[in-house]
Order: sequence, then C-alpha cells, then structure tokens
Amino acid sequence: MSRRLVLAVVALLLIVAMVPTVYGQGGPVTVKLWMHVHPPRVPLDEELIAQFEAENPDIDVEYTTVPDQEWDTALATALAGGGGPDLFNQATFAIGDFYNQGILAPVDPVAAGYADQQAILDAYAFGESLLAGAMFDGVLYGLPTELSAYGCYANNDLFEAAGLDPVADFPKTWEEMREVAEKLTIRDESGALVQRGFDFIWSNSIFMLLIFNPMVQQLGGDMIDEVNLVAHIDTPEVRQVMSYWNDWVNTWKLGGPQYELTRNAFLSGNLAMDCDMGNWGVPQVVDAGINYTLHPQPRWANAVNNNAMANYAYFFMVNANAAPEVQAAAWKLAGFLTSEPQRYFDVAGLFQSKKDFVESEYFQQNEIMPTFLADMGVSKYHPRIPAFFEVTDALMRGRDRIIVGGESMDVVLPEMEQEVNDILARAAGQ
Amino acid sequence: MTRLTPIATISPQPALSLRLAHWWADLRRHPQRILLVLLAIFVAAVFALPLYFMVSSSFKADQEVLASPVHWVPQDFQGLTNFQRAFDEIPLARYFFNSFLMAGVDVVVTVIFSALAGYGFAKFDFPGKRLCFLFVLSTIMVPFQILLVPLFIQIHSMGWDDTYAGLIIPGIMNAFGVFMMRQFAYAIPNELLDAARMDGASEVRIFWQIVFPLLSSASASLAVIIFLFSWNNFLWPLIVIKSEAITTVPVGITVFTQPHSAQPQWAVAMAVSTLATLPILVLFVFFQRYFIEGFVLSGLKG
Amino acid sequence: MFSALRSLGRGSSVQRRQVWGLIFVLPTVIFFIIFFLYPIVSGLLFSLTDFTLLRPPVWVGLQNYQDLLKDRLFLKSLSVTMGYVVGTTVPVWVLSLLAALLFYQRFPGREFTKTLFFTPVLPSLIVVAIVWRILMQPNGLLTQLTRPFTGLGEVNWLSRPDLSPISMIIINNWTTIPFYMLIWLAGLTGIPSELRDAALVDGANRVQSFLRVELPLLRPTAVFVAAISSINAFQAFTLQWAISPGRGGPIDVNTTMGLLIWKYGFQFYRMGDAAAVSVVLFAMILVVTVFQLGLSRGEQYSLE
Repeated sequence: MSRRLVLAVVALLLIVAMVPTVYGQGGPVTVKLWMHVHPPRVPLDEELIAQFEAENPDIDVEYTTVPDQEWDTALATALAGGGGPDLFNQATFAIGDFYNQGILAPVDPVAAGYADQQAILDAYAFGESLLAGAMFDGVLYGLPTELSAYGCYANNDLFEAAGLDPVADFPKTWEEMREVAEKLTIRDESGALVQRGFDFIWSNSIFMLLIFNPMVQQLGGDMIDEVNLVAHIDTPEVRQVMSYWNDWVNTWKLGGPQYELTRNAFLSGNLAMDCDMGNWGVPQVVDAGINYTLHPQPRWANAVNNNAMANYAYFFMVNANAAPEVQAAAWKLAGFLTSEPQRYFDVAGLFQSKKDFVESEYFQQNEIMPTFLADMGVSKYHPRIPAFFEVTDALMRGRDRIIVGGESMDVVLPEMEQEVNDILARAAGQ
Repeated sequence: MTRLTPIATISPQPALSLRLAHWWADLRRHPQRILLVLLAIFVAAVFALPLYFMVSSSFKADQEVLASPVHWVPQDFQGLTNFQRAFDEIPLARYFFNSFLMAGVDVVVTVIFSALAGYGFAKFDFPGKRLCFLFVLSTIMVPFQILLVPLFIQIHSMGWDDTYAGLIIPGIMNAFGVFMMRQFAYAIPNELLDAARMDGASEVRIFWQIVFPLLSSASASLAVIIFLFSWNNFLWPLIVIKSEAITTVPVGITVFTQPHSAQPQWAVAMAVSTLATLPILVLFVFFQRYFIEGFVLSGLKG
Repeated sequence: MFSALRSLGRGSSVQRRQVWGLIFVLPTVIFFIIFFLYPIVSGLLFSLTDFTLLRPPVWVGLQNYQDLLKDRLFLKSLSVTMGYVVGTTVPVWVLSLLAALLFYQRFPGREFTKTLFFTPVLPSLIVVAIVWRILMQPNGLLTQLTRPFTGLGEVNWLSRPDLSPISMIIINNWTTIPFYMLIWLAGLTGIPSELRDAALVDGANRVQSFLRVELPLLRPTAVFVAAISSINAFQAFTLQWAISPGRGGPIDVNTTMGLLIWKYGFQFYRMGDAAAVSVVLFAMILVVTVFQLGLSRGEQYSLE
C-alpha cells in the first residue's frame, strides 16, 4: 500500500466520521420523531409513517429508535439548547422536569384531528384521570401511546401445589398477603428462600413512587405534594408501610433486595405472586410457560383510598422549541399514530384507552385487560415533579438505611423528608 | 533521558513435542522447579477461570448458567443458538460495525499524528517546542473523568450529539502516543535524515519514507493498545450515544447488566460477552509482543 | 507563533527547516487545545454556575462548592472513593509484584501460564461486570469456592452494604493484578543479572538479594505502578455503574466520585454540581500525582 493511499484512507475515514447522522432534508417540513426501542412496534410504526407520508406529501418523517435504558437522559440532553427531536414518545417519569423547563408544547387539538382539548379527553375511557399524566394547570401536553399500571399475577401451579386456589385464595388485603405469601414460601434447611410467595421489587428507585407511595396513599397519606412541591415523609402512614416492608424482609423473612428480581423469579417459577408488571408482562409470562391468573392489587384492610399502584404512561410530546409549522405537523402525525389502538394492542401489547376500542366487544372479551383498566381508573399518576429521579434516589436511600442498614425510622424518616424537600426546593428554584 | 526499558522478546516457539522434551529434561535437572510450575498453574487457573466460565456458559441454556454447583462443561450443549439469539435480539452487527469504525479511526489517526508529533519533538528545534511538549505531556495527567461534563457540553454545543463525530473525535489523539513515539524517534540516527535531505527529499517525504517505517514497531505497539482502549471504551460512548445506529458494543451489551430489564438471558449475555472479547483475544494471540510492549510503555489498560 | 515563523523563515536553511517540526507538531497541539485545554477551563467555569443543560448557566460563584460541603452524597462519595483507592492499590501492588516474581523465575510452561494469567486484562470492564454478576449470585461460584472457609451456602456479595464494596475491589483487582504484573516484570527484566549474581556471591540468600539489590532498582517501576493504579482507582465508575444495586448502592456504599459525576451530570442534570465534583476530584488526583512524581525525581517523565 503506498503512502498516498494510506493518507487518502485516513482522510476518507475522517470525513466519514465528521458526517453527522442527521440527514435527509427533503420536503418543506421535516418532523424528527424519536421512539424508545420496543421491537414489536417498529414494523407497525414504519408502515403507518409511510402511509402518513403518502397522505401528506408536504411532511417528511425522520424515525429514530433510542434504546430504552438511558432514554430519559438521552432525551433531556438532546433537547437541551434547542436540539433533539420534534416529536418524541416519552415516559411520564421525567415529565415534571420537561414541563418545568418549558420544553413541552401544548397539544394542538385541531392539528391532531380533534375539535378541542375537551374532545380529546372525551375520546378516552377515564380520559380525565388517564390523561392527567400529561396535564398541567388544565392544559394537555401529550397524546398517550401506552397507558400502564401494575396488576398482580398468580402462578396457578404454585398455588395448587400449596393446596390453595389461585382465584379464591388470592389476597385482597396486604394483611392477607403476608399470610398467603407465607404459605407459598419454601425454605431450605439453612433458612434461605428457595421459593418466595410474594416479594416487593427492590431494584430500581422509581418503585418508591410507583409502589411504595401508592401503598401510603391507600392509607390516606402521600409522600409528595406535587402541587406545592413539599414532602410529607415523617408521617404515620409512611411508618405503617415502611414497617410492613421492613418486617417483610427482617422479621417475617419473606424476601428482600438480595433475592432475584421479582419479575425474573416469577418468570422462572420461583415466585408465586408478582404485582409489578403491567399488561406488557403477559407475553413474557406466556412465553415462560406459566399458567397464570390476573388479580387486582391488594389494599390495606383499613384503607382510606381505593387506589391500586401508580399509573404511568408514555405520551407523544412535542418540542416547544420546534418551529410552529413543525409543531403542527408533529401533532398531526401524533394524532394519526394514535388512531390505531387495536393494532398497537394486538401487535405490541400497547394499551391506549380510546373509547371506541375499550367499548368494543374485542376488548371486553379480553381476559385480563378489564382488570387492568378497572385498577387504572381508580388510581392516580405517580407525582410528576421536577428532579423525579433525584427524589426517588433519596427515597430509596432512606428505605435501604432502614431495611438494609437497620437504622431507626425515628432517625431516618425526618432526614428523608428534609432531603427530599431540599431537592424539590432547588428544582423548583431553577 | 532514561532509556525506556527494553522488553523481553518472546522467541518463536519450537514444536510442541520438542518443547515437552525440553521441559522434561529441565525438570529432571531442577526438580525444585516443579513447585514453581504447580504454583504458576494454580495462579493462572484462578485468573483464567472467570473467562473460561464466560466462554463455556455461552454454550449453555439460560438456567444452566446459574446452576449451583457450577457446571464446568455445558451439559445441555446449545451449539451456536445463543449467538444466533443475540443477533436476533439486538442489532449486534451494527454495534460491531460501529465499534470497528471507532477503533479503526482512533488507531489510524493516533498512530500517524503521534508519529508526526513525536518526530517533530525529537528531531527539530523550533521556538515554543518546550512549551508545546510540556503542554501535550501534561494532558496525560488529566483523567478523562474530569473532562466528562465540560466535554459533553462542548460536543453538545457543536451539534455533535449522537453523531460519529461526537463519539470518535474527542478520543482520537493520545498524549502517551506522542510521548512514546518521541522516545523512539530519538533513536533514529541524524545522519540518515541528513543524507536524505542532501538527496533533496522533502521533509514530508522523509517522514513518510524514512521516519515512519523506522517507527513501525513502536506504531504496532501503539496501534494494538489504542485498539484495545478504543474497543473497550465505555464511559464516553455511554454519554454521547443516543440512537442505536451509532451504538458501540460495550454500550450495547449493557442491556444485559440492567437489573430491571426484561427476563435476563444469561446465556445470551455470555455469548455476547464472548463475541465482544473475541477481537481482542485474536489480536492478543497474534500480536502478544506488541501488546506487552504497548502496555508497559503506556500504562494504558482498556 | 506567526512572528516566530517569520523570523525562522528569514534565517538560514537549517533554521528554515525547523519550521517543519512546528508543522508536524501543530495538529496534535491544536487538538489538545480544543479537546483538553478548552474543556478543562470551561469545566472550571461551569463549576461556578448553576447549569441544568436545559437552561443557560447562571453564575453562582463558589455556591456549588459550599453546597458540596454539606451534601450527604458527596461526603459519602469521598469516603467511598478513598476506601476503593486503598483497596485497589496497596493489595494490587503487593500481589502483582509477587506474581511478577513468580513469572520472573525460569520454569517449564512459563509463557503459557503467564498468558493465561494475563487474560483478565483483555475484556472490557463492562464484560467483566456481566460475568462477575453471575459469579457473585448469592449461590454462585464465589460462594461455592468460599463455602469451605465460611460455611455459608448463600452470600449476598453485591447487595450487602458491608460486602459490596469489597466485591467491587475483588473484581477490579482481578483485572488489574495481571496488568501490573507485566509492568513489574518489565522492570525486573531490565535489572542486569550481574548485580544479583554479585549479591549472591557475597553470601546473600535469594530473599536478601531481592530486598537489597532488586527492590531499590525497581523504584521507577514502583512509582509508575503506584501513579497509574491510584489515578485509575480515583476514577472508578464502570463496575459501580454496571453491577452495584441501584447504581451506587446499597445505601450509596458504592457511590464513587466518578459515579457521582455521572449521576449529577447525566441523571440529575445538575451540570454545575457535576463540574464542581470533577474539579475536586481533579485536585485530589493532582496532589497524589505530584507527590508520586516527586518521589520518582522525574525519572519516568524526564524532558530531555
């Protein structure tokens, strides 16, 4: 190889490296669309986008899939300074940050194919509560692509092996949960758990707001006041739930953070009850060959509120920094892509509570979806606060100090409250 | 200047039967060495075990990977099924292409520009040389961790978010390379360069036709180390990469480390890990001498 | 710079030739100005601002540093980092030197066992993390191997707050001991054998000759190993990110400063605080490096 060729290759490599992946300036309006990776949905997305482009020759769509795990970070950094996608499919967890930072554009009902905002709310079952995830001060900032809440899965075979009936004996209250779980737990001679009856999901801090806090809310408390950005953690309700979680691990020894993740344990047949998967879990459960039944979430015997676990969702949202004509085109595309709830449900298990879909015979005959929808309808969204992940991080730290580190709640709970209040105050001040 | 320590070169290996005979004779002469052999085998086994576990588990079924006690040999041999599943589930081919692109560009640019700069520092005398060299050298002491936030903001403001440029260019140069090449360029006899100049060769031509070829052994050492470094690089790609289209292998396989991912497929994770390590292993087997020299001179570890 | 060029251009042909040195060096220097000097300076400036990426930076002076002083997570990360640095330096120096002494001996099969021993250096840390996550399952291989000594059939290597940092250190040291072994070995190989033989003739045994002759001569190598291993230890990130429960847990016992920079910058969008932590980390590493280079009397990095 001659020296000149080497140089040429180097130059070429450099040029290739410099070419940004952003390309394709075609029609008058280009909508950059980011979706999180969910392989089953991709072919349907592509088909519908092609159809949309054919019907709207003046709009070009640039479709990018982003791996799920660092999605919130990816999006936040991409949107900073006015860059990033025009239309994106985003979970509600960080929506408080996005709203707070002024990145979200309100829904343009007319462009999306509705008369006005009320018409959108009316088009969805439980519209007021299920679209509340993208609602701030009465203004809607997104169209849902996937509404989700956790249901309880029972492994029928493990129930029957323990002499229990998965339907009749499934616990309705947290008090019953302890008894039933004990009956379904198998320990080896050293006391280590071979099979768990039930366990909480300990791995990710967001469950402090998706599962722990709803249990507090059932008792009438709430760790986070989303409107005034204040934390209420040193309360009797939090104490009751924290004691229950602590006893679960340290007194009753029914599970804990050291064991295999609940979802995986359930799928491998080592956990009899799992209450932390949405309807998206069904294909995995079926694939794993598990004979299951689905149940509503337990409530406390002395519950004040009838909520289940927290609702969360993915919404189409539009970048407020995009040009007005791009925003209109983006809402038009979002309206179009949310007009096929049944196909997305069939192909990818994504649930949108459009009334015409929910009221159809097809949906009503589904074995599990009405159970999910019933719990969703009575539940609230997780708090949509700025610094969401920082707050959940602090909550999990407090939980672990008590449950793993053995510190006293009298010490930890006030400190937790202070820490979360500091985080919220700083985030609100920005 | 302290000369850099020469590295023991590994002589070409004779045939196995000859070697075994030689070993046997050696042990007969020094029976106490049998203890050393046993100790070395033990130490090597302890350190090689986890990688053996990785490779063997890539041929197991998911549940067998977690079997306790450990199965050293797959009992339910899966053939290449796990590798097939890996390619089906994540766009692994694309990840590999991106990793090779990044490592390739890093290697070519680092080697050429390090040689150029090292030669410039070693054989020329220009105003500001000392300052320039001190400056380049001082960057060795700046850990990448420190640059992470401001560099990200810089790349971001340049519009290089989520592009090959943003992924590759900030890591395209390495001060160790310059330092190392400078040491080797010193050893080039001035007479050789002057003779070429007398013949009317241009300075660029002297570099390409005389200096660079003489630096080829050092270049090879630098190249394999930079390849390893770049191939295994994790932190910066983790920050810059957003879309799957430019995802590299180490970032792509984190899907298997996530505690909250869908059901972890341990066997697939082991297959992907094996594949991710394979290019380095192949390079190491063929270029061991350059690897070792590069490691020792640079102190860089992937 | 340009006036220097011009003055050179007027000089003799030998002087004119020196311009080429500048030209050869320039691309590298410019690169390091853009991608090292500029970010370092801007990082310093960012550490004096309140900056969330989503909004322009606001100047706050030393506020971020004052906040760090009472920041529970930051204070925790200081002690976590120090613990990790101690655990991944001193034992590594000793064990890697012992391994080097082993492979410095002559015995049959040395090259083969040395190559096997060296393999942990090759895979990416993220691959290492995945493999060890399986080996450190509560009833996994590590438990199996330690059972004869501990009697425990189930050990929570990664989720016990007291064990988890030690587990990270074990994994790290597994990948770095063979690496530093190689560096020691190169140092040992560079010692003329006549020196050792002379000591042996003087009646010293092998251990005495090592302590008297070889160890002092290994000083430059020791400084090199110490500097590189501690700089790497200060930056710990990947293992903690990949396999500690909740990215730095349990109860933050694995939240190193490196992980905290990522957490503040790229999870909490607190770029100003992340930059401030970076500056503190930089200062710490600088002190250690300068101290260690001082010990070496500039032997490794001599300029001329």
